[in-house]
Amino acid sequence: MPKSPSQLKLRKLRQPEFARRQRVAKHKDKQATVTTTQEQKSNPKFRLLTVWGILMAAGLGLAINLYNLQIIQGTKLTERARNQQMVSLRPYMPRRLIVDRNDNVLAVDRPVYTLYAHPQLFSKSKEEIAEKLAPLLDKTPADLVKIFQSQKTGITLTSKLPETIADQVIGFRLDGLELIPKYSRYYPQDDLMADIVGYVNIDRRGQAGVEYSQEQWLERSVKTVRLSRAGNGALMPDYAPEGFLNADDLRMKLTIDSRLQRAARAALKAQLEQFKGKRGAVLVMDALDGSILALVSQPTYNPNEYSQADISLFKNWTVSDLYEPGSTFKPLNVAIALENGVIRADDTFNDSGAIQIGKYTIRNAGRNGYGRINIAQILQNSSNIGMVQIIQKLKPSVYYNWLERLGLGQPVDTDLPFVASGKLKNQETFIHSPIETATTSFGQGFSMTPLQLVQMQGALANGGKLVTPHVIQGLVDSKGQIHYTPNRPAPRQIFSATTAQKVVEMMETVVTEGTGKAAQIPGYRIAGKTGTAQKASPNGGYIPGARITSFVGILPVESPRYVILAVVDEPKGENAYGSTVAAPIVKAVMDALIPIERIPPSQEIEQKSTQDNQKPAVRD
Amino acid sequence: MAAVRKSAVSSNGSGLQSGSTSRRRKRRTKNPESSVQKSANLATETSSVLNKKRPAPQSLSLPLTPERKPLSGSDSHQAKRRRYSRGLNLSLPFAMGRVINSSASLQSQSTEQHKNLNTQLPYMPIVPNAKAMPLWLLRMHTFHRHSTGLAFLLVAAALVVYGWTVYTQELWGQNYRRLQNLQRYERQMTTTNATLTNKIAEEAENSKMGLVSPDPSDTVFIPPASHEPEVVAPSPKPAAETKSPSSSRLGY
Repeated sequence: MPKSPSQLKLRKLRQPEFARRQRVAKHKDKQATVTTTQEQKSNPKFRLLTVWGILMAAGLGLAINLYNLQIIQGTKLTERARNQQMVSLRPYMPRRLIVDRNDNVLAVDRPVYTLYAHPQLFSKSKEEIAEKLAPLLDKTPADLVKIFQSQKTGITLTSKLPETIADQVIGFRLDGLELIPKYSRYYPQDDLMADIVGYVNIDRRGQAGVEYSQEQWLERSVKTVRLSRAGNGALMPDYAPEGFLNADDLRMKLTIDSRLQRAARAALKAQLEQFKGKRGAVLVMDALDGSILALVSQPTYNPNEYSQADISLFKNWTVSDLYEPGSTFKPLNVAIALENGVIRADDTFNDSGAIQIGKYTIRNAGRNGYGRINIAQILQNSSNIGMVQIIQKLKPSVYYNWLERLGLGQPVDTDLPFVASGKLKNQETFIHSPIETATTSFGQGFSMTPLQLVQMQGALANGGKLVTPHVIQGLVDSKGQIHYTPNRPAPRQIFSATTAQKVVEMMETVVTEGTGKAAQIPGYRIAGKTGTAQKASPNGGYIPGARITSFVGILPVESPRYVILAVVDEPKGENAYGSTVAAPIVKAVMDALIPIERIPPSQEIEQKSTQDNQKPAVRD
Repeated sequence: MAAVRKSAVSSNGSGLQSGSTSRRRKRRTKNPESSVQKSANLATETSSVLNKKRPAPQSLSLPLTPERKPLSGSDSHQAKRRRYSRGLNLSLPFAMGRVINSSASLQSQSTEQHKNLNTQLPYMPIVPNAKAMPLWLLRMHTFHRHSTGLAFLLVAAALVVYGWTVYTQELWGQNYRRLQNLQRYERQMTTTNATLTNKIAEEAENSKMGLVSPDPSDTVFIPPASHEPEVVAPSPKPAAETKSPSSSRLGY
């Protein structure tokens, strides 16, 4: 915009000052410019360059340092950081609970602590600390002081401090004490279930019983988790793997009923004491599916203190020891013969008291003859001669086949560990030696485990099927939902249902009229068979005077379900037979079984009205 | 008052308003001129920044362009108005001359111009050579501004995320401790329960308290009515729950 002349004038008026200043400045500038022309070019530029250079150098130095730290020393430094920050945890993943049929806890994991003392780190005097710790550790303060003075560091004060007491020790906040946690298995039922559940050793590995055989289902695999720790010691979830907190609360449910177990144990103990037997066992099995309701073996041990027990007790002799069943095997022979059709239920045989087989003479146990008796009477009186005659009607090879089908000479399929397989002579010897078939007919000359006998008697009880005796129902969650059942072989049919029922009814006569009278219970139809067998000596032959008495009972006869076996090894005394020693045990067990399983009576009990023709429904 | 430029003053082109308008008009088109332009641009930029702080009543705008357009009044008028409207007033109070001096002196190449101006226009405030701004510089400037804003936002977001992370970790830690406590209680309850059950069962077995185990002779069985489900009443003895007073489902 062109300035107006007036403006220009004003400008000019104002000029001089400015102009003067300008001129002065210009003078100076001119002078300055002369000198600083060169410098002007170099000075600011030079300064700029120097500053830039310094900054770039600094940047480069930082970059080099970064490279050095991150790449060259990177792994080492991460290592150190990890060591400081990360902590290895074994999160609380205990072994699974074991519960019984009614959800009573049989085995539970709980953390216990090992308490170490390092006296050289004590901040208070030894006496003070001893004062505080003495009541918790069950020692006198003087003892503790002596212990503290023995070593400078690393004294184990106790290795099994329970959690509550450990909390109190921590609450004291004393220096120099160290608590290392570890898990220990606790069996609240003490020795009641020792043979079934077994025990766990210090390394937390099952050594016997269910703890051993189901190790993979009880022990939860947990890898130690490395977690990062914040400055104040709290854990941070940064590196936590997926689902490292245990999510499932499955427990292992057994088929055992604690109440029945207790009753059986009490009965067995009483008889063992009375007859001074060496050992005894009681087995109760539900023949419909093979679940074992009670398994008692005396003597036994307390798994909480397994280290103090005799190691021979750790095996469950009902599955691991063989014995010759004796007369309890006779009903099975009768079933074999009936099934083969070589005899009929009302056939009679002549029992003369002795029979000659080759160079052996076989006699009855009572050394008397019973004359002409039918098969039921053979069982009632437990006549050996009668049995020999029955089996003589079978071809040995056919008989041998049957024995093999029954499972003789093979181990029982079960979920308890250390199963022994029975012994049966080989086919050649068996077929060509008539004495073998004869002795087998009354239950001697071969061996099996008590559990195997129960399994075979179960075949009579459930209509001819060999079931798998098992202790484990499966893995169950806290709401009762079954999540996993172990695979079991399917039951296989051995006898026909009619044969089995006939034999059971014959066995009923043993209890009503025969040697099994001690097992009678008013109002209930019970089948049974006594057994008094000689014990085989390891050197061949039999130990004189040593017997193994047993009694097997089946209840109730109109729809058989439960098989109960009681075995007592080497009862002493004159009157020590299956009928006197073992049958009362079975009666006591059945007394407890009836209310527990609510088995209704089969026939009238005195004042009640007849319920004869009523067939009670089979339970569950 | 606009400064007047006599076009014969400098050959190198110190543009006046008209030049500025033309320059601004030509801003869209790229002016890849000599470095003198760039220096001039920078000078004008700096001067514009500086001058925004000190708006003088009289705005003497002396944009310098290489264009040698003759000064036309209307143009300059428009330019001035435009400048006012745009708010890009390059007002050069006299004292700013020195500032402009120094800013101009940063560019070595502008010194000559500068000297020229100094000699020719003594009272004129020194205006650094205002060449056309190279486009990349403008773009960089805009980018710089945008990225500053973005960086700000990102930093704020990062702080928020960090805070939230620490908070969730804190929460997790608390809940983990709670979980551990609950697990411990559950453990203790299970163990205590089981031990008590065992103790009671053992004491019952000792039959010091006069407890008897249930017996079939004590059990009452009631036959079912025609269409009612079977009712089974176990022993009427009150303390008959001896073996283990544990969960019999239909028990008491």
